[in-house]
Amino acid sequence: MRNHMKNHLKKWTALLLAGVMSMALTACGSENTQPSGKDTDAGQETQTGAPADAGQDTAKAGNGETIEFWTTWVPGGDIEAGSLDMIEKFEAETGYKVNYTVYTYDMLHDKVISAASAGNPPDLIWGLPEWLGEFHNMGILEDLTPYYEKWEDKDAVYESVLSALQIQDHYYAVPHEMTLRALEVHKDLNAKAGVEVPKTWEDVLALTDYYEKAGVYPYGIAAAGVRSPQELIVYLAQYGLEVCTIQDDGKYKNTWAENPEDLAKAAKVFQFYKDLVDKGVVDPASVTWGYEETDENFATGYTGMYVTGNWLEEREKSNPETMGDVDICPIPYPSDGQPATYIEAKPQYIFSDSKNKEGAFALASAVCSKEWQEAAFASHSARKDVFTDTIWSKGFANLADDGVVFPPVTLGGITQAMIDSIAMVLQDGKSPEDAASWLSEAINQSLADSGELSE
Amino acid sequence: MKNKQRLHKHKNRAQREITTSVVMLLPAILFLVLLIAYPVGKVFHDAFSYTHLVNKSMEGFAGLENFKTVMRDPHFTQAIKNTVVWTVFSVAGEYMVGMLTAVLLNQKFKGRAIFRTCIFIPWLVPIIVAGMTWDWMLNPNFGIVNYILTQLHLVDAPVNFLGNKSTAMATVIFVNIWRSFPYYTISFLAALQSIPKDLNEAASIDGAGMFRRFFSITMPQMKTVSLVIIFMHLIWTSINFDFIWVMTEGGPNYATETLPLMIYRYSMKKFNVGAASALSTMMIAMMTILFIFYYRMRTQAANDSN
Repeated sequence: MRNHMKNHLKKWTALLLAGVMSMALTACGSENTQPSGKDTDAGQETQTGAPADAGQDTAKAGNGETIEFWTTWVPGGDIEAGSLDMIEKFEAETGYKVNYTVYTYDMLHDKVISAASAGNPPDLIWGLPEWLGEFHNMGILEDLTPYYEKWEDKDAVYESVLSALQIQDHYYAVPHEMTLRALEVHKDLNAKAGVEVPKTWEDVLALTDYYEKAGVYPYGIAAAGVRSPQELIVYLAQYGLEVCTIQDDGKYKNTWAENPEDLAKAAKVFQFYKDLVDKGVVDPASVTWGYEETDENFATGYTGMYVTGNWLEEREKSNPETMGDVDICPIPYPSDGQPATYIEAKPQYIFSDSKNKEGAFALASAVCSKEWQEAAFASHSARKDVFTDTIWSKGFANLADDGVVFPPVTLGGITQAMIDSIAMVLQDGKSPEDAASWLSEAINQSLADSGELSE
Repeated sequence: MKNKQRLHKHKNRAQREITTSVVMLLPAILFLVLLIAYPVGKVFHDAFSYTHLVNKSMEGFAGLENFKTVMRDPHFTQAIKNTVVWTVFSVAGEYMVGMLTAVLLNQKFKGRAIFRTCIFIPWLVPIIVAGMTWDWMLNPNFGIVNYILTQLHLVDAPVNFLGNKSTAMATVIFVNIWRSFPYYTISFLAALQSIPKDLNEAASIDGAGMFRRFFSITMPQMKTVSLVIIFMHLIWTSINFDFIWVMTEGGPNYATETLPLMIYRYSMKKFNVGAASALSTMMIAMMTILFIFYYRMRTQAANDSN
């Protein structure tokens, strides 16, 4: 009887172990595997006609050919939902099959570098504007100027967006989204703290008793990760500073060191970061935070105000209690400076080794069509004729005139240097002047490494 | 004449055997050449060449220039220190926790089978899932760990475990130990079960206490399995990339940057494949030395036991 019980227990233990292992293996299997076109209900099998305002020459030209499409939409989000419907329609109208795979930006970047270096890139990707310079210098991008000449719909796109996708008057990408940065404000928290929306850096730095009154920090910074350089470029632009400027020889250079006034202005920017932390205007822990923490903290009401983008519109659904009081305002700037914001003209890249360039441009132009933009990017469209009546569209559009973009150079080393320079001030205790000088040198060193430094 | 024929037959048979052997080995040889020898050879080649994905003017033989670039890097020394700390403390922690749990699970108690099953769960969790889960659990604003610590008044304010330079490495090591110790537990448990019970019983009759029995009987019997598992994990841990990348990306401010992360930055952020290959070559050399050391110790242990 006892032996029988023992055997019985052993059987159950073995069964439990097998269950645990199979669950873990299921987790392994699901790791990093966002749905690809073949595994979902995107409906790639149907085919006919072209979208009304997509590439006219490719109408019904698909003939069952596959377009390898690597995308970055957030699974379960509005962009995915709208885009899946439009992919289905695109396939039905053009005869192309779209085989899509979803990645995060970091994963996508590395995969594209590897695939393109091996001569086997996808046909189309949704990427970041920061990659334009390095992809171009690697020689992996297709010159899309001939396609643009035939693309009737390009006039509907913001000029600032189109110019951000050009290098020496040649187009190397098609836009799919435009986001701007603005100061997003929790009105209720500000009312609780009894403060107005700050207009200048000085106003921001005066919010020292906000935490006591509202119980949360008034402002936020992302001092690490990809968001950090995007914030720093705005604060630098508010003093009229560029990361690097094009020189007569067509190459680039950071010229702060040649102009003591510029170097002093750059030092003021780092001083602003330092003061934000020293005066308790931002959470002290934010010196190592990336966008994951800062966006989350704003969306959940742990930060009163934060410079971020209109993608937080999605958080109105997930966090209705804390996002209901949000207002959109211009980013505070120094009283001796000027307003500025960052335009993120998100590109779609087609590669010189892509196997189906015609199909890729047809899909890229369809993504930029009015119908697709309304379905997936209504509040943050790259088109002038697509907008909504919400703060997420209107509030941001008003700021577009002050937008700046990254220069079209290899940015991997430069953005890392920008992150490191902030860390020098906020974590290593270096002076703002030292950080400004170091950053200027580091930018030029990075340009030299990539062969883009003007001598 | 007969002798000649016999010799000829013998030769034919030998040739056939050689041909058969070559044909049978060919898939393995192809596998080794294509998947191991070629990539390793390419790394060695690139280590001594100017290879840059963006700067096309960088080409040709570089001599030791890539190695100099790596060694002049201001983060190189720190990365070596971090790699040593990360590897040694991870393996030491895993060994101690693994041994402790194995000894406990080797005792007879009610529900032992269930505990033996459950203890293996952390090892089954994918690294990315474990890393990201702990990342959020340790978050100073939302994390359950800080919530518990503050509720119990063990800390005055939430601790930014992964964001503070002084705690980041220890935290990542802790999480790595949490995930990896079950592998040690299972291995040690198997070894413990193979130790004859009468040895312990005899020692017990002779008056040996629990600790004396553990250090004089159990530990010597565990020497071989310990050697294998320690050296295997020294290599696995030192070349590990994903755990640290998922949790800190080498930050804050390079405080957890190890050599594999540095290789990644050189190749995928700076596009300097030559420097990345030089650093990889240095790591391969270090791992080879470690392996030779292990091989000698293993041989010595085998000779001792014989």
